[in-house]
Amino acid sequence: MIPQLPLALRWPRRQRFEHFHAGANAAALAAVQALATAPDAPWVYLHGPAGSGRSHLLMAACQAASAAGRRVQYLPLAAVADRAAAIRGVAGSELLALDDLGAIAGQADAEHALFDLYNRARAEGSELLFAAEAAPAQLGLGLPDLRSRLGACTQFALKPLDDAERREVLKAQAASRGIELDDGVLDWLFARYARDLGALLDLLDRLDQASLAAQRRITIPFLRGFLREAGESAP
Amino acid sequence: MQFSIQREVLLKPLQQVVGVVERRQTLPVLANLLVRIADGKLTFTGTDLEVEMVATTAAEQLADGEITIPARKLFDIVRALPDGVRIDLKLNGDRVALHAGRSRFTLATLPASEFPTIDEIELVERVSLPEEVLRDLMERTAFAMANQDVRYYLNGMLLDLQEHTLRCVATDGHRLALKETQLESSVAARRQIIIPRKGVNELIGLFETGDGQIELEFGRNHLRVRRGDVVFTSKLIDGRFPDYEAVIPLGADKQATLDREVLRGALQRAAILSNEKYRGVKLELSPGRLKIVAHNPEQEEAVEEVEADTGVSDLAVGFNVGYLLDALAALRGEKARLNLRDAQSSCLVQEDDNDQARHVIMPLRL
Repeated sequence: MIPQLPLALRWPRRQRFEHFHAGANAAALAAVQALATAPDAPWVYLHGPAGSGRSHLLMAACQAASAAGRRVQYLPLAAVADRAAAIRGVAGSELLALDDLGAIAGQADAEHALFDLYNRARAEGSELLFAAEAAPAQLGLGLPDLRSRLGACTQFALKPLDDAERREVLKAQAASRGIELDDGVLDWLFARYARDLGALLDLLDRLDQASLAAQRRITIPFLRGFLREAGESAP
Repeated sequence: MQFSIQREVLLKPLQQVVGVVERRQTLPVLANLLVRIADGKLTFTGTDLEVEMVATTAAEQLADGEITIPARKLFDIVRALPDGVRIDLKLNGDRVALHAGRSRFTLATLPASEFPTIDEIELVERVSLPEEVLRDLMERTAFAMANQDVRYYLNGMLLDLQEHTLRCVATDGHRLALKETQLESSVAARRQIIIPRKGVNELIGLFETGDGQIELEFGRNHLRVRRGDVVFTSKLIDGRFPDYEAVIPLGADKQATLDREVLRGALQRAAILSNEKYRGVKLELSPGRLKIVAHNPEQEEAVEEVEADTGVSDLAVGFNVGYLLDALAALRGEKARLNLRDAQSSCLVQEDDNDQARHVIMPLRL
């Protein structure tokens, strides 16, 4: 282990529309872009597995809407302790993005709060954007009315990027920090560390710090040593 | 093209520009200096396509014209000539004849039209400040620049211009050096540019003591620095510098104030027995006292105790002693203050009575 600790030189992960690698999700991207910038566009419900870009699209929508002068709010339900209170506390936004909807499934109080919020937003003319792991019918919601309301949104099933596309994203993200990930390193990584894009980008954050501490390039031996020390892979 | 000049008057501009010329070049003409006589002035230009230096001087018996001459050879000849000798230089066809006393040299040339110069920079901001101040800013931060890091934007120095403040910032990812000054005038928009390492070193070599002013011109892709006798231009590193303000610790509330020279001396002695690779020393704070301990793989040990104005107890943090010494050497004033939090958090080293110079150092795991 390298004893020197690195400075926490960080770059905010870029989550704007122009950084979204659409892959097979071009239609979802277009619908979310329309919702972010054009009033009266249909509400959108995104679902897909981890790493398929749900949170990225929600944050990009908020950023674009905010840049267009609209009041926005992003509520990541999984990260909130008192979800019912958080949903009831939402007020005054013209675009509200609700992430990780599955976190309230089965919580009657929070489900009712969301049902009320949905009706209130319709009445007030503000717009909602939802994201969850599964479609409304498969989310395990206890409140049938909420299920049908969510089902009325335009739904998109996001498909995760394939290996080649994830490689491109990882390479581009690394390059934007000035780090080179050559094809040999990427081949080695993808053969042993098959993870979704979010996990790969987290790994890039940690590798960036480790390479800064060691003042070394990211090579296969460096990567192997890093993953072994982190206990994540041991070939 | 011809001129006549006293050796010492010629040596100074040659010294100023010759450092820019690389010993190995991609283009033959880059080994040469552009020598130009126009409007009664003699100018020399050296470039490596990244950094360009133009030095101007006065000479006699001028005949207008321009040509390029091998830089290193011309410099070595002039330097080796005796003091006070008069040098006459004249272009004959495609050769330059240099006469000085009883010495005669004939040098090869390349046409001036082949020499690449940076003429216009897209100017976005201009500030003026005393040369001493800029020198201080750059000399006291440059040591923290990275050297050949893959993160190309760390191999240089950030100039951060905001309102009335100009800051120089450098970091290699282990430590960060910042020094700022207040300008006479303010700028409308914040400007951040990164000067490559070589440009920083050439610029530092150019500074002189005195009370002259320096003009800094921020271009879209260049920085230009003007002083009466020289114009320095550097390409900028095209990249974003990390958000350095986020790594300057705010919650480092465990403070110790020490005599700067006493602390330096103690660290220099302890460093002798620190591990060669990571140069670790352990700092242990207790009320009124700082203890410095170093070990090496041969199990040798150094212990130093320094009087400290502090109420902190039971704090032990490891550091690369070289980083501490660099920071202390870059400070001025009698007292230095260490601001710490815990063994995993960065340490802020600064002067006791101001925060114009700030040095952030990450610990070593003990």
